[in-house]
Amino acid sequence: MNLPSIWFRRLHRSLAATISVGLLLAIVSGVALSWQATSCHVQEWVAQDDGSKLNVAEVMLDLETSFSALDQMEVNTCGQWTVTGRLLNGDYGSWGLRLSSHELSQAPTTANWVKWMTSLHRSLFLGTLGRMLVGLTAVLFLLLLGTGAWLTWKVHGLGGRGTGIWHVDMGLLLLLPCAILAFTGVAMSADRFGFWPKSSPVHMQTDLVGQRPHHASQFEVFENMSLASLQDMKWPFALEEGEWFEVSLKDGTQLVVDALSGEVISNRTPSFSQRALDWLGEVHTGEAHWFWSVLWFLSSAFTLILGWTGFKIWNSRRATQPKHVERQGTSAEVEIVVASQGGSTWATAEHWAKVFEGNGIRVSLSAMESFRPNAECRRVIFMAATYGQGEAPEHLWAWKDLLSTWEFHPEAKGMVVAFGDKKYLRFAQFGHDLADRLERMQGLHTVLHKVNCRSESDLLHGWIGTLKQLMLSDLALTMKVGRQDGRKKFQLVDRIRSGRMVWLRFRPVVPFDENVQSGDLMALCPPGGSYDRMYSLSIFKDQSAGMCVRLKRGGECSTWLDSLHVGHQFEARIQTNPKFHISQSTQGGATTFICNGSGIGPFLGMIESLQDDARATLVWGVKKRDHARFAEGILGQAMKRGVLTRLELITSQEATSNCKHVQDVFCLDKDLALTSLSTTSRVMICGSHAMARDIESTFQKNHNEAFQATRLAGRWQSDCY
Amino acid sequence: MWLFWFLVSGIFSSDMAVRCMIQMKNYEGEGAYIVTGLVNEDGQYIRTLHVCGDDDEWYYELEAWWKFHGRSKSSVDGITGPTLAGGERTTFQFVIREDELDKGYGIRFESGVENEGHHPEEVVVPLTADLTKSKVSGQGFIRYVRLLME
Repeated sequence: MNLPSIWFRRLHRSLAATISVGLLLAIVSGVALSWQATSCHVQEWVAQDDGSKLNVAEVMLDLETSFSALDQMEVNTCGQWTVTGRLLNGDYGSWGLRLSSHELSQAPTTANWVKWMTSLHRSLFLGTLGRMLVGLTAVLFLLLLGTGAWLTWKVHGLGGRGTGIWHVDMGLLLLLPCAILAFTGVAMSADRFGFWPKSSPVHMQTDLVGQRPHHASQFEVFENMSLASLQDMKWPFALEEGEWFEVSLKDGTQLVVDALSGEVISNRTPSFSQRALDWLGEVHTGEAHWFWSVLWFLSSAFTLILGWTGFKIWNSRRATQPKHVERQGTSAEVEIVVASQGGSTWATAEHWAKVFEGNGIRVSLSAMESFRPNAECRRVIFMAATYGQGEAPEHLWAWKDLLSTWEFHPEAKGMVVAFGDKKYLRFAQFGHDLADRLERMQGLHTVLHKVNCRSESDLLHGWIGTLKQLMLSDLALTMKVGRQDGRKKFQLVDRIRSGRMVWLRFRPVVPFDENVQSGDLMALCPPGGSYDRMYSLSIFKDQSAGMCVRLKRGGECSTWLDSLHVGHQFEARIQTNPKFHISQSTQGGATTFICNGSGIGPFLGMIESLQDDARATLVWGVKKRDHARFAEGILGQAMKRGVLTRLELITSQEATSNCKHVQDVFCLDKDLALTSLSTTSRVMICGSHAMARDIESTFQKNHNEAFQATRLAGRWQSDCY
Repeated sequence: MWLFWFLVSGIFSSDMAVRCMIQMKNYEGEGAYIVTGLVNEDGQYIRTLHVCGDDDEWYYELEAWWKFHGRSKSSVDGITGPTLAGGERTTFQFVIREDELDKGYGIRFESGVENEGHHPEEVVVPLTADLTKSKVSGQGFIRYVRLLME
């Protein structure tokens, strides 16, 4: 039976949460008690004397030289003997006994902290209820270990290699000792509550043949009994008829010896189940051998760490829970379906969706479990993460059933981008299975591309393959691609800081190629950075370039760029971006430039490049008027030349009218909107996705026909991020 | 004058050791807490002689004794031993003064087992000069007690 691993993960998590407090207390007290048991073994080893070679009769004889009456003699787990009785001088009490020297000393006692810890460990100071809770915790702990082992096997296999995950590797190491510890604890609890199988001890009783009074030290039974085998002996209340010695041996045997004759009148040998229980108890408490107490000490201590690492995993997953926003629309041209285990696949999917949207392609983004194919959509991209050794993400354990409910457009094409790790034998197997099933069962013509460890180069190839499979034009994927060749040197010639933006103007050390135009991208990698960031460029007639950088808090690249001084040289790569070039045929026609914030970057160069009678409009949204100051010179010249006939600067934080966002201009001035969408006009948008979406919604709502016509004619150019 | 005679009688009265043995019945469950105490003619505790059970968090369950001990907060160090499980026995010794004999006092055994019950006057043995060493049966967890004046 192939049970989905998510059940076990949830069970594992729930169990851990349920027993966390009880287990924590039990383990902390267990660490202390196993330390005590270990120190006891050390004491026993240090105090090892020849006394164990004596027989009980010899010791009794010896004790009679010091005591006038004896009540009890017992050995504790540390091998220390205690004798209770009345000394010859009449003092009554308990004394410690060192067998090799026959010296009496202060009776060994159990430290208060040990009693306290024992009570905590055994019952949480809650009596019977506490014992039940502790027993239940031990049972659930066993279950927790079981689910953890099952998950490890399911996800990481039985290769015997380390997984590199502390919680998993340590859990595997601790599995057996913790299982023994928990089982022995469960056995003790079971006995306490009468669940341990009981069978009667072997009990032999002997009738007294006659009264042959002897001195106790002459009893044959004591002469033949080694002290090493003795656990506890109680003397009779009085040496008279009907009284007896009670003897408990370490193997659990209990003898009753007649006080006068020395005959064994009762011999109770524990049953197998009782012996097993006793042994389990000794193992659990570490009394059986120092090996166990040391093992429990180490296991308990590391189990605390195990709990902490488990909590960290849960917490980090909770904190990095994908905060994805599904975007679903019936008019989507591309559907991206995400099957993600931990959320990182969502990041890639959202990135791709932004690139599509930035290029004016409508995208729907759905989690696989909630995806329902749009009958009209002909392009579907599946981003499939692999879980474990080749499984689907846990929550998609029934993905095959899900697929059976889907119906695609007969001409739809699919692309499966499968994420995985080549070190697993079944590399990206889920994506493979998904592509196979989509092709065979759903009739969706599907291409599979596997991405190893989310490598940038694999992703880039996947992107190119996706564009090819879905028959989309060449789009630049502004992704975290590794540094590439073709870098050139540039020197900063001017920098103006405006609010949270900085305008940088620079010149190439070697002049630009003729093909480089405003709207192309500059790929920059900050010192110590591992990937390029893309910025839209303005190319000016004087062969200088400019870009507007939005300063992000903690942004590695923008912070670095902001720190550059005039004269500073840096390396960068120019990446052409033809879909955002201002075409020659449009020059002279009416162009409406719409941007917000640093989206002005490519437009300044474009505006400068326009002819004097261009009659263009610029709608630019900034937070404050001051923030636009760096562009005053260029825009002023453009106004003078008649390139710009209208400049709308929208200030969101200083708005004095209803015009707060760029789309508000088109709501308030319908003529401007209609002029922008006229058959000879062109709209260019650069800035944030949110702004682009709002603009599109506004035009869709108020002028949908003209808007759709503009889009279809390719006069709607967008480059958003 | 009364104070003088009281002090004098105290000085000249001698201590007497009493050996005591408790034999438990064969019951299932936790070890029993058993307090041995000297009581007056009204059955009120005068002094704690011995306590079986060294975990003081359960002492309150021996309600009658706890009213005396909890209030007086007298120490029981040195006169405590482990609890007694079913079938077990223990022997210990305590001290009484000679002037406490034949005054109507008694030696009272109060027992309690977690979730099994509490017997405030399980055994009460009159404290007389001819303290018998014969068995005195208990009403609850104790099979019998034996006392022997040394």
